[in-house]
Amino acid sequence: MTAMKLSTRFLAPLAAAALFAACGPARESGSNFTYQQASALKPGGVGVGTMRESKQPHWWRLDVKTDGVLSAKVGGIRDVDFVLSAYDADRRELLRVHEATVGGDEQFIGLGVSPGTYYIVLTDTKADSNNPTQEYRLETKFEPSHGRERQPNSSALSAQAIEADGTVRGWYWPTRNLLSDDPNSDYEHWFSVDVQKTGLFLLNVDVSEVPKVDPILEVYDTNGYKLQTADSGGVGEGESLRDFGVRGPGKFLLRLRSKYKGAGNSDVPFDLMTELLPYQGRTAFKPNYQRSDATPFELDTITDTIGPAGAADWFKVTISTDAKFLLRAEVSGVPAMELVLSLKDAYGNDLVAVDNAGKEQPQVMTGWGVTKGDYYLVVSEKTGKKVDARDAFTLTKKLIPWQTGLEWEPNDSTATVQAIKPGESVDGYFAPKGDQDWYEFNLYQKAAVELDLTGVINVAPEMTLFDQEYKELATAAAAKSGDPVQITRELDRGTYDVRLKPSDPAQNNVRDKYSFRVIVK
Amino acid sequence: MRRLLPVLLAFAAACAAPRAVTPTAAPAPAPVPARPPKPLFSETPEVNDPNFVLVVSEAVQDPSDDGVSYTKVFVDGREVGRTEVGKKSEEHVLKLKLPLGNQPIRLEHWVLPAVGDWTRLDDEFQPRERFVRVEDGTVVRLELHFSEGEGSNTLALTREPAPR
Repeated sequence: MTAMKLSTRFLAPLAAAALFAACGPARESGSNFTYQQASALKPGGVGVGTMRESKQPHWWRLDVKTDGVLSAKVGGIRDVDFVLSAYDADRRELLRVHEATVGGDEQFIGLGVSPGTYYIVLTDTKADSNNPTQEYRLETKFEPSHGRERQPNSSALSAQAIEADGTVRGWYWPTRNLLSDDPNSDYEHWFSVDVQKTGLFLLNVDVSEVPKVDPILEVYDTNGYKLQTADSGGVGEGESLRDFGVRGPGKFLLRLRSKYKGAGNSDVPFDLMTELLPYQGRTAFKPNYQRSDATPFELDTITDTIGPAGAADWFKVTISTDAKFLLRAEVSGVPAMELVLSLKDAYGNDLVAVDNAGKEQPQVMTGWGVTKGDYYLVVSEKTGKKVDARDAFTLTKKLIPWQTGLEWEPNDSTATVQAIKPGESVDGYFAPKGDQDWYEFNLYQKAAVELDLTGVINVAPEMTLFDQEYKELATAAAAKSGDPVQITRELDRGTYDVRLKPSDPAQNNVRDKYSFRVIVK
Repeated sequence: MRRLLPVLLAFAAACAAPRAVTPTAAPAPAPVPARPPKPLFSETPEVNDPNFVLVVSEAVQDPSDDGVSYTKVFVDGREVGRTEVGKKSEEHVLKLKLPLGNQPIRLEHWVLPAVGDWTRLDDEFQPRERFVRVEDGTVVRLELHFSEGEGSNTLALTREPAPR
């Protein structure tokens, strides 16, 4: 009993000391200059050592029990220029960090690890270091990997698979990829998104803002072709990729990087948020920057955003019946931008470009004659330099069955002149800017003919009568905007053409129609 | 007669019995008449000194849409000629000698669809009627060009001196 009490009295402090020692930082075990001699360190633990043998690498071994992400930071000490590396069990170098100079800290954040052995290795690049006594402190952190970037993922081949609906947190750190063939290359963050469901989807990707970093987000296909770039924000701003069209099942890659060399941030993380939505035809199916990728425009309205810079958004309008229609289209204004709306034929040839309005104003295509086949409405920003991923434009279309009495564009030349019978009238628009409308009628006997054109606000029209050889017979112009025009003339049997146009080509009116009549008296 | 009866019965049985058929080659099926490549009308005879030339062309973007077509010409409501039948993508030329004067000319375009018979384009897709002044010493050239699968057309008139 006495012996028992004695042993308890003496052993208890020793046990407590042992326990305390176990909870404290791990110390280098002698010479840890090779992986066989590596000092043990618990994932999440702290290691302490000295650079007594500064020419030698200092190996630390971590035995990981579960999946997770491992971070490590070594505090700088005097006269030593640390390089921090991570190796797997086979001594393949996974990461190498050397961001600071002599006396500076080094760290990596979010090394993806699985159960097994890993090594953290400290080396000193300074040739003549002399600090054998000051202790360095190697702090590690082990966290669950869910929702975290798992480095290394600095190439398409090592891209981290992520869910199409979720958030991933990572750091723009390190700034350089020292394991690349080019040691000056930047560290890039690659993620692969695997859409396993079948169908059409829209993918939205947002990257949160990080001080000091101007991010660029790019989308690649599995062949390595770049599909889209989001680079509208500046330094300290985020990026947003909206409505990127995805045909499932499919796989593609996201590449996130800093725009400027050497820019990074080890303090503030980025959040990469992805969202996959079923495509319902209300928004553009991205990418739609060329004819072959045009978004089918089947509903009456569709929304899209301007970007990337210089890109045009293509929308496909299909007429499936053997009839004539007038296609009317309108694109809404976008803050600080001037948009241009174009119509192209099935082969991408220009039919008409609408550039009537100014900045932030809607553009209206009043009506273009279309028949069975495919047509493309194309929206672009006028300067080709501006982008706006947040403020969407709305494109509206209407197909109006054509009937006698409606203008049929194109009718802007003698070759495409629109026939009209005496006694009939036709309603049309002086639009887009520079528009001129030609009408042709036949007189089967000599008669006095009156040509009447109603007035239209904002337009002072001019009317010219030609004979069938296109010799000018008469012309009349409105005195001022909104005034009507009339020509009366005795005409022989034959064909006659009439040209209507604003006196000033800049004048146009997309809202109000003119009415033109040919009356035989 | 009684003696002959068995012989007659034997003949009758022979007639009623199925006959052995000597195998012969089956007759070839009658050839299915091919779809007439041309409409059933006589071609407009060529004239030596035409004063009117019609040129019809079409922009066919897809070779699979390149069917055949022809165009009729009416002067004052009366048919005066028609182009040869040919591929849409090829130029169809018709030379005519028209009476002098200001003539109302109407063109009527016909196409042969992939399935079915020759079809006249609907009125709304036909070229417009117009007067053409035919004069001595000149040749009027009227060019009709279709695009968008006959969805639209242009009509252009030029005049050149008649060859001497």
